[in-house]
Amino acid sequence: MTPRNKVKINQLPTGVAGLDEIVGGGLPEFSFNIIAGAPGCGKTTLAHQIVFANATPERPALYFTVLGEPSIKMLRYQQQYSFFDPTKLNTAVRFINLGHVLLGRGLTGILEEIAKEVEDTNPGIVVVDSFRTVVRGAADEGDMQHFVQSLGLLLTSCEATTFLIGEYVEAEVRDNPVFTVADGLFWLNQTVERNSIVRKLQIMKLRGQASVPGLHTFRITDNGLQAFSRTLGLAASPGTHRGGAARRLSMGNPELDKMMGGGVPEGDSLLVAGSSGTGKSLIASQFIAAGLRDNEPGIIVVFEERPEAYTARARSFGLNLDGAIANGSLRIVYLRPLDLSVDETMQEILDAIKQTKARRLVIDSIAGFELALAPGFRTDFRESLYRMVYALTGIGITIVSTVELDESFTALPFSTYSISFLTDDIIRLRYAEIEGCLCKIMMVVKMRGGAHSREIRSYEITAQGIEVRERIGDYEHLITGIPGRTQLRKL
Amino acid sequence: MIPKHPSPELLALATRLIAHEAAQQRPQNSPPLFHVTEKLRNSIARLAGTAGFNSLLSRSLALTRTIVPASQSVQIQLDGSLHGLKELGDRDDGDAVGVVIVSQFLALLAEFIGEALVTQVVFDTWPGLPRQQTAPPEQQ
Repeated sequence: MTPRNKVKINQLPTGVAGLDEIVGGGLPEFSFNIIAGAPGCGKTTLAHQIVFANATPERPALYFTVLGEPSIKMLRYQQQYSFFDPTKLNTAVRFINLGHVLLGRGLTGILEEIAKEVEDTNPGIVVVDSFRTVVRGAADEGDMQHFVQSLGLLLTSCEATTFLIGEYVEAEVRDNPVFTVADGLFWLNQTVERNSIVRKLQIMKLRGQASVPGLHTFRITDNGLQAFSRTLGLAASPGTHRGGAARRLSMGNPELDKMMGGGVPEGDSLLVAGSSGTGKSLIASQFIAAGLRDNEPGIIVVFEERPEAYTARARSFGLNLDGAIANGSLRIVYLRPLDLSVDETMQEILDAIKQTKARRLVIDSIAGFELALAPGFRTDFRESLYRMVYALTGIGITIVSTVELDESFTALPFSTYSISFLTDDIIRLRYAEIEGCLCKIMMVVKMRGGAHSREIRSYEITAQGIEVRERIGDYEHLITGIPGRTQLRKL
Repeated sequence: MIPKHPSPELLALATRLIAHEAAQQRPQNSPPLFHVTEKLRNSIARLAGTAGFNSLLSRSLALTRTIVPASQSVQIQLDGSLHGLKELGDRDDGDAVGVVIVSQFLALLAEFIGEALVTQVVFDTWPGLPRQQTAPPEQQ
């Protein structure tokens, strides 16, 4: 069949931020769907968002309730959400209780009542909540199968997009005919890990279009559900910095730029690793300030320090970030709710990038980032971080991340997180004891984009920022932190 | 049991509903309270089921009895309709008692779904009822 004579499946908005992208553009019109999951995970709220996003007086939404949450209480709670539009009640959105019908006339009665209402109102959306209680009324499996098929046929032929809400567990999917008939299966779940609730949704099935596979984080706020796609629509973005020689961006420090072979390649992910007080945040701030001087907007994501403290500290080194914040070319994103997912963090960052058109991003620090995540997300931190870095560098954003390391005097670790695999470039800062003084040394360990200095340079943190000094030539074993004089050994 | 204190708007609405139904020409001389609760029953039972409507109306009657003990004759039947209205109709203040019952019902419903939705449900049920603002009468 040629694309020309294929039937076009219209897509309806979900009304849920982020969900349209996950389902592949929108909900297939006239589809017969199931929203399933455990109690309290947001099934009814999701259905309400779909209803209010699509219902019109001409094609209203019929919301049938059956022995589940009483409608009065449902209205009481659902009207707290911003998407709930009371002016649509009884015109575009109609709630109909069928509890007494099920008790008195069983499945046949339910089918007759739904058929009558559908015929009278010509709805665009039909919701049955809770469908689980309906099918419990079935005498046997054949009875239930007949009911589900009749309902599906009725609603599809009436050109309604249908959502059946049910409390199911995943084990029931295998041999339940309801799931076989359904075109779409939206699975919601939530787990409590330590003090955090982790909510995830999965499109287990969606006929006719490609949805984004896997588990997607979602959050329930005053605006209802907000979903965070695993890819945030960036997975398919072609890398902009891998082909050919990338433009070099200044780190805001000419000597450091030289060490890096001309600066950091645009679209790279650079890790600045070092122990406390070695100037990681300062290097990151100088990187952002250099971009601002070149009219390149930036984002700083901080977890351990409040934005005011961050800018005040930058100011003490002669970096005035306040003006850029005021004119919108710099945003400092402060995230510390302790129950974030990487996807939510990424969404915040992407929103900020869209608003500021940022080309430079600082994540300060990775340790703080991990701490800000809900415990349940920490186990997948590396994988999530990889996705985030890959997606952002894929759209040409240059990332500088900082990571704090415990100083070791026998080894030179680059990161306690084993994340150096996801960075293109690494700068290592550390302390070394030289002639009874605690000195700071830096080295460019890795530059994926080309040649770089192999020198180990000392540096100072002054009121003007990082001052990179000369190569330390008279010592060896500097990277252990306890060097010895080269000349002494020769003697 | 503490009766509800309906807002002036809901009290005015209850008064207008009773007056509106009292003004309708009907062959049988049934009290306006009967017609108000019957129409409410149809719309609320559709929304919340017969059991939902019955429980709200039962509670409203119980609350009304704490204000107007004479309303004791009014009872709710299984299907949600009212029984014992004749005794109420014989009283001079029958319509006033009806206003109390309806206002208690509306106030109770408003506690759950808010006054805005209650008002909307009422006007959907009585599309001909003018949306005029009237000065609220004194609480009975």
